[in-house]
Amino acid sequence: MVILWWCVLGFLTAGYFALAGYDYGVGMLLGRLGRDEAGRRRVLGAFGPFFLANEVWLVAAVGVLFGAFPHLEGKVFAGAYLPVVTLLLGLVTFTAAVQLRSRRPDARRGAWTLAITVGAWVTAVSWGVFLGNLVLGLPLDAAGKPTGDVLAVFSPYALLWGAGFVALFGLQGAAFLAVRAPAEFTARANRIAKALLAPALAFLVVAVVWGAVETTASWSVLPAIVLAFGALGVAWTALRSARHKTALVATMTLSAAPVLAVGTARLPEALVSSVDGGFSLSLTEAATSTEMLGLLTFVLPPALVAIAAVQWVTWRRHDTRVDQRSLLHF
Amino acid sequence: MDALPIARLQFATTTSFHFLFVLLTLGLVTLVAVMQTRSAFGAKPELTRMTRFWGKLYVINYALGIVTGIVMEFQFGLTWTGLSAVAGDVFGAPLAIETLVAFFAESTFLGLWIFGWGRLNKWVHLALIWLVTLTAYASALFIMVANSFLQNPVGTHAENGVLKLDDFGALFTNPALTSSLPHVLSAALMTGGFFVVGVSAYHFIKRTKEIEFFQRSMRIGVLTSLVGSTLVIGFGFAQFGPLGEYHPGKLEGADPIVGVSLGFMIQIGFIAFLASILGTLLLFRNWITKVRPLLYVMVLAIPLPFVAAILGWLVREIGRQPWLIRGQLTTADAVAAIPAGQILFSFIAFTLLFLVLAIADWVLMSRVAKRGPEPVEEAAAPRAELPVLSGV
Repeated sequence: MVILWWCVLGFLTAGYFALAGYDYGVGMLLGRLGRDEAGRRRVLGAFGPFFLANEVWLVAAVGVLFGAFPHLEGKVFAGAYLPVVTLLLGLVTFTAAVQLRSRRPDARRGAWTLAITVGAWVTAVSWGVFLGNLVLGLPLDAAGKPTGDVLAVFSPYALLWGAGFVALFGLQGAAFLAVRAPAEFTARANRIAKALLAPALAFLVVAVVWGAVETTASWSVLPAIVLAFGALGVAWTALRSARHKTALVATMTLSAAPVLAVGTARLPEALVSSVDGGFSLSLTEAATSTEMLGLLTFVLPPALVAIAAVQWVTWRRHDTRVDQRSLLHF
Repeated sequence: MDALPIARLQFATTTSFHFLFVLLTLGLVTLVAVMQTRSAFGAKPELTRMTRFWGKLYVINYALGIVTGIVMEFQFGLTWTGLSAVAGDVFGAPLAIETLVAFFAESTFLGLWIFGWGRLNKWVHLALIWLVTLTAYASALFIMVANSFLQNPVGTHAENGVLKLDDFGALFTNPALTSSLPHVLSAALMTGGFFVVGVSAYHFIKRTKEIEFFQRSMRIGVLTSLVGSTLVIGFGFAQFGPLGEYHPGKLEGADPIVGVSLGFMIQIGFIAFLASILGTLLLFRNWITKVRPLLYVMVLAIPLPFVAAILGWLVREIGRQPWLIRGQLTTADAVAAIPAGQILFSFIAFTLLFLVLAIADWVLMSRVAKRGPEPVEEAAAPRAELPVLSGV
């Protein structure tokens, strides 16, 4: 039962990275790609119909974290306080700016465009730093209390992950635009995506090697690593032969793979500390009571299936490029 | 420097901002759904344009409701770690259900509604706005279940300092919930009504040409305010009985803020009620749109329900102190062991960001509100060389 809910949490979090990742990627590239207002509207229009539905995967994931793993929830955010705070600042800025930017036809939008770009960058870096910290272990003492040092969560390894996620989300955003943006953007988006392949590969290699040296990760992490390299390989060949849809699916998988790696690296532990003799929390300790999991099992999976079906319909309805007849909202 | 007061201020600020936006979201979406229903069953073009115009304002307001809500959700884990340690097995479930069943669905349906304008079957599109409304109310229900549990932890027993759930159903029959939920929902209706009335009044002050558009809006707004304010007062006073039983002495507690806030909230409630009755009487022959001094009062009254709601929230939450979960966990014990400096940093950063975004959002709303509805021909046929905008 606990394993099942760990998988649900993993599915929601990985789903969030696979979907919202291209929103942030597009946000980071907005200024580079959309050179005039009409262009920027179409770039934003590319993720328009998916935007709200993508972002709420995070809300759902945190909800499941709280509902099914309340004892993990209390440790994991407080333990990485500053990265989570900067993540929220970036996320709020990005999400609000996307939704408010284009609401008045006659207004100037420079500040909103800047807010979207900066928000997307901060979000990408913060996610990387946060996940990097989870790989290393959080700076928690034996009682599970965060140790005071501000810089503890900004270790070089975590910063590497921050930079890595800029590459992953950027790659994903560019691949997405190659599929969904109007045809005149395709060549440029493809070029950006190809330029980001090497940094993404460098990140994967360094993160895995350095992580293997630095941490005591178990072998259970291997499938996630294989998945990441496989996805990058597929993305590489697909981008070179301009098979953009394949490249998009591959980059979405690539962005989700680190989440799966974090979730499987320490099994059966859910969370470990980077401090010697520090705190650790097993999956069973992290989970709520069996009765509560039973109750959640009764309520949530049907809801999840229904929502996934509704979102699938959304994707099917908008599987062509943005063109003159596309509805622009953002 | 003590972390506790800063962490409390941080949560209070986030929640206050969140509350301001969700209150109008709940009220306005109901009005929009009613307008769209009438538009679907009748053939009045005015009602379709009303759905678009008020829907546009609703969508702008919704944006900040989401983002402040995300920050609130994270703060349980960021600063109130004691809560999940003691009551995670109980408190987590309603929150998880809220996010998945209600909020996740609400945003998905809203996205479909926005991008379905003129593209989906009229009845499917109508069903979507009702689904958005329904899930928004479901959100309110589950959040109030969680909050009411903090006020009055029913259906549980403590075991080694950890709360265990005995009866999930008891969370829904909690006396702290049953009278406060309708109170909050009717407050939202009243807020939506006052908003629509105030914006319509502005256009009559400016001698709008859209007479029928704003007369209809005004009528729906006034009637909603009447229903909302009547219920809000009724359910407000109905709370005193159960409150006296599950939390005796709450309103006479040590903190004078509680008493003062309660007094002002009740005053505003009665003013709103009397104003709604007057407005309803003046609907006769549309006198309401012709008494100019009153129109100014209606514009100025837009913020009143918001003020009352914040005051009511202060009564409920400060009245609970020093407990986070009454009788089980104090706020001081629940706060995380984060250095005060870091919490101060996040408090300042969140507050500044919310302030900037809220002001930007309200300026945007007031500009869109002042522009009034789209001219008839533009709503009907978009020109080919321009991008097709969603219209909401």
